[in-house]
Amino acid sequence: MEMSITVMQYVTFQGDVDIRSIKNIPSSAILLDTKTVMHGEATGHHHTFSDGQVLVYEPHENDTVSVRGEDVKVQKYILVLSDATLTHQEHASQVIPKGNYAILQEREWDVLENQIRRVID
Amino acid sequence: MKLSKKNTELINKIRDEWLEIAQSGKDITIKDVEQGVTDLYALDNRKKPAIFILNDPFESQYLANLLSKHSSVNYPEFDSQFDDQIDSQIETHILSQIESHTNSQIHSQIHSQIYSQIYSQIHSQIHVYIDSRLGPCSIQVCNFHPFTGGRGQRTTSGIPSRISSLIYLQAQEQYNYGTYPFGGLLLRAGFLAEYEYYIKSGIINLTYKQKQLFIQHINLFKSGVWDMFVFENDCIITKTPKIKRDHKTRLHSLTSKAVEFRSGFGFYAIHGVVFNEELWYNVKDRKLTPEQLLSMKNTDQRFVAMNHYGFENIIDGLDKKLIDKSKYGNELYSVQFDKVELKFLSYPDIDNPAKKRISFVDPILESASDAMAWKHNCTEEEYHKMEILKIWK
Repeated sequence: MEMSITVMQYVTFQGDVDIRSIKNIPSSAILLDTKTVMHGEATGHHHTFSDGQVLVYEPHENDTVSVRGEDVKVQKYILVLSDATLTHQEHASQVIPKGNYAILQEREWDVLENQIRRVID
Repeated sequence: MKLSKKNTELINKIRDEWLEIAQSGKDITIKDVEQGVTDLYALDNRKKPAIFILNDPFESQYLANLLSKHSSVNYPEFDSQFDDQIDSQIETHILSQIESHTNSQIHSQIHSQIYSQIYSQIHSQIHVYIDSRLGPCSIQVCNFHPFTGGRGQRTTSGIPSRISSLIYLQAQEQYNYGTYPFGGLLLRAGFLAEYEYYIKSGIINLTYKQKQLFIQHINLFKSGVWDMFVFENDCIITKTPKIKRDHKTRLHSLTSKAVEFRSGFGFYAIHGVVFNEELWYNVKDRKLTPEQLLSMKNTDQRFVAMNHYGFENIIDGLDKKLIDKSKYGNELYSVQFDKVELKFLSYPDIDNPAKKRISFVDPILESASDAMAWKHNCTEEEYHKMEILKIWK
């Protein structure tokens, strides 16, 4: 089931992880047994809540949030029940206030993908 | 009919199995090939041919040209046999039992993905190489193509007399590119996988005889047949290559050829762009200077090479223009690259402001703050309200 979620106000980021408040976490999301919201592919570093009450959810593979008129894929959902600290080995810790959030991946313009003549027909 | 989770899993399983067969470089199973070829010829009431199993498409094409020169042009009619006995049956079932949008969905999830990964990316590379080495030929080489709606017959114009062992050896020495006129698994895997799904899922039902025929046929190709030329008394089989890709399934390897047959025949590629051996080594080992990189004539190769080097490492060599600078020290630049405008942000690392970072952004963006907002999936207004940015004030 594809979800399109109305975006609310609170936004922040930690490294390449973007955090946006949302109204509700869809019922199709699956609760995970972890406090980690993202792992670094190359470094092994991770964005993890060290305190507070936080539930981390896996979204349906087609879940998106609408930002700037574009649908952006949701990486995780988090439900922060009480203010919680998000930590990372290389980035400053941040306190995330109580609320529902979508975790998004920081964007970068893919020069290869967008500029190169496509080799595949 | 909507595809269930179970159906989708079966589609993925069959698709991945065929991709693995076509790309793994696994050695051929001779017993299965012999049985499969014997069954194939029996289908057209022919006796078992002499079977030649070769390591790469160049060898196969060369032998095919020689055999064609000395062999009668009485090619087996496998394609029409299959068309009569299986292909038309399957197509009729599909048309009558499956809604067109579901059919399209299945087609795109199996056939199209395999076709784009195997045929589209590899065929032309091999084709160019062999044609450049063997030249146009006056023979008709029948290349067996079940389920493709046409007999894979190649009509070219003349085996040149200049084909000699000397040319062959010279061509072998230049093994950087490979080619082949028609694909085996290269071309068939998509169709066979799609039909295998229809049969295994029970969406269409064949008679016992049809099913046996189909199983015999897919077993032949699952035994590692990359391609085959069929003649009246001879059959040439080419073994599968080993194929390497990046995470977007583009041909790619920084350690060896991206496509490599068992003889060593193959070619190098980085993110889908083919390089000759010398240039591939120079790029992957970063031996070129930024000036040499920027002067590369082939645009695709230059883009890929620059990406491999890291655009941030060669950005000073580009003719960049500052468009906007924000109060946080973020700078938006524009750079012309082969008549294409690229834009990038140069910005201090928020956790280590002494360190500058470079990031390409959507070229439609006009201000540094809006570009940073785009990077972080928010509007410019939201960006300016971020708590985290207060450390800059």
